[in-house]
Amino acid sequence: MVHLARHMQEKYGIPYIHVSYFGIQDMSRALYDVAEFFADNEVLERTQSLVRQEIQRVMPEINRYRQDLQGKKAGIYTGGAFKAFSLVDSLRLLGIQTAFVGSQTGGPEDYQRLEAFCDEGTIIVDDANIMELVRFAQETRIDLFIGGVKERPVAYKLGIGFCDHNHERKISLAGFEGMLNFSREVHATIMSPVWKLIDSRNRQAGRN
Amino acid sequence: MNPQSTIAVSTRNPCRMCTPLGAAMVFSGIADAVPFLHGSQGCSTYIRRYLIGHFREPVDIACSNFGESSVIFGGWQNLHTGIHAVIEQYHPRLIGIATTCLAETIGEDIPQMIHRLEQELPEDGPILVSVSTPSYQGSHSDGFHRAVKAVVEKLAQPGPAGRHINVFSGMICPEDIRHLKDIFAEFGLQATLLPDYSDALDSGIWNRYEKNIESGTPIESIRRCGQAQATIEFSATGDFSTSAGETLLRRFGTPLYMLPLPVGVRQCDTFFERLSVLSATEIPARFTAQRSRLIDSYVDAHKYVFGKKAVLYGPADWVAALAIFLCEIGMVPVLCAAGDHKGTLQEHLREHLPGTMDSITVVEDTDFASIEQMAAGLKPDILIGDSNGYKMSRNLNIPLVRLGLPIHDRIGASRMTAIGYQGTQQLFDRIVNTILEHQQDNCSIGYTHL
Repeated sequence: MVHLARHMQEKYGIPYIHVSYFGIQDMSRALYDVAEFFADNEVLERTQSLVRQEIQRVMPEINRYRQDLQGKKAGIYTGGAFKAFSLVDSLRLLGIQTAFVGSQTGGPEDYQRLEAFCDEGTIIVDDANIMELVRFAQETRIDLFIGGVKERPVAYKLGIGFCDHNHERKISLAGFEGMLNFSREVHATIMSPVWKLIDSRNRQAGRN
Repeated sequence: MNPQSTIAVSTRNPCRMCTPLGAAMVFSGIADAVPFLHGSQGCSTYIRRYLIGHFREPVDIACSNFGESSVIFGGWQNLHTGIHAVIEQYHPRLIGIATTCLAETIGEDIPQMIHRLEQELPEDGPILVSVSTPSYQGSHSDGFHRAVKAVVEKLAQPGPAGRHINVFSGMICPEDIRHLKDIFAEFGLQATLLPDYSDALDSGIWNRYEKNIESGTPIESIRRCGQAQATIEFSATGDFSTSAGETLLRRFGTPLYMLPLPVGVRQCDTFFERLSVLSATEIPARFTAQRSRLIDSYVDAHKYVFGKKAVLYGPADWVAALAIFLCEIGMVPVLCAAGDHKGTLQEHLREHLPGTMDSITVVEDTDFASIEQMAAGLKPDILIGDSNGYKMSRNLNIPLVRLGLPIHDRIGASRMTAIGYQGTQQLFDRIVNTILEHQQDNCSIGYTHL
């Protein structure tokens, strides 16, 4: 997408802003960035009021989930690195710590930024294969794995909750409403009682 | 009925069926036995109509056909004529006589009548078993249990201790009965399932029309119930007054294991672990594999069902087992409605579902008008129960997973399983798919990969 925007700027002189629509922070930032770009006070005020309204709307439910999710751990493996930032941030809002994070196509610059952005101790992973991801997942005893749909059965076989974050999704994750959907799904997958039925030998200790 | 209400409200659309219906099912599941209703013809017609609608099989139920004069002068003459007619036509080895409201209301002295009949019948005449089943006392489920108890009380004999196990499963579908028999066989345990209507009420095509009373639990096996190693009885509500296992425990000291219906992983574990102890063998690999696949499917579907609200209705034992199963997969049984009255459902659920009772309403002795009223406020995602809940499902636009009896608006009631890991798998799949189907149908986009 950035590639396309850059070309449009070069060829047609259309300016672009790099934003993320995932998570409350990034969604709000995206709206403000757009408002600030137009440098119109009225637009800015309307944006502020919209953001305030939306945050007030979604936060009570998110706070309820955080009570259950505080202290849980997640692993993230995405296609591009950019999505990972928003995910680390969104998980933080839910009280979930990111144990490891990585991507298939991230560059050194992305990883430097990620390292600075994440809590201390978070493992940064680059272009890992499935067996490496399994090892990280088991060693860090995560409660949730976020990845593409092909990682789903892997997480499930290990007795780990899962949320897919790719183009195939049917329930949107973008915007404030998307953050609610994300929170509901993460809460459902982590809090489901089905994990209690899985033999502790298959699971990582300490997840009961 | 709401105890706080000052206005008496009559039962509207009962969530149970007639007590003798259950008794008739039990007698149908005993080899060479004929069910016989003491009362008016409509009672047997109604019960036959429901059983035929559910099982889609021929169902013979004899009747003493009360008329006005029997109501005034008593039904002895009708009973006498009826029993002799049944003997002549069917040559049964046992006749199971269940009473109806009318016979009980006029105060028929059935034990005395049976005594008289027994004295005039030849030595090799049929055994007569009677059970008191007025429908103003209990439900079809109670009638079922009472009939099992009556049969055991009449037939069980003392004798040398055997290794066999008595199994009183309560009302389960024919495929579940077959699966239970299979489970016991795999453990190497000899089991007497009472009743066993897996053939009588679910048979193949016939070459010629038959009386079809031969199949079912053999009378000799019932006689040996008192010599068994143990009794397994599926009952969550612990009602000893209708427990045949209690009779055997009291009379012969046969150890009684009252277990919940084995639905869901944990309730199945309780059952399979008990069989492992009784047979002194490990749980066969076939069942541990079924268990593992069931859990794997729980995981695959966990997000589709998490937090989904269900309304359950039916006999208390089934409602109890289903509620515990649903909580195991992350659903909330917001309304647990028993059509019969045990008085222990709330307590049983509180004991087994600690911490979740705030979100669960438990009612007993309720009817469909009350269930629908409560369900409308609870906004459930799914209903689970028999076909009599269809009107509610339609009025509220909430999908119904059919389970129990009667199921007269679908084919395959005999195969809607729930027992064991294997039966649970089918029930679980049906529940998840019903939820998915409803979501998919009500979504404007019509996604396919879900």
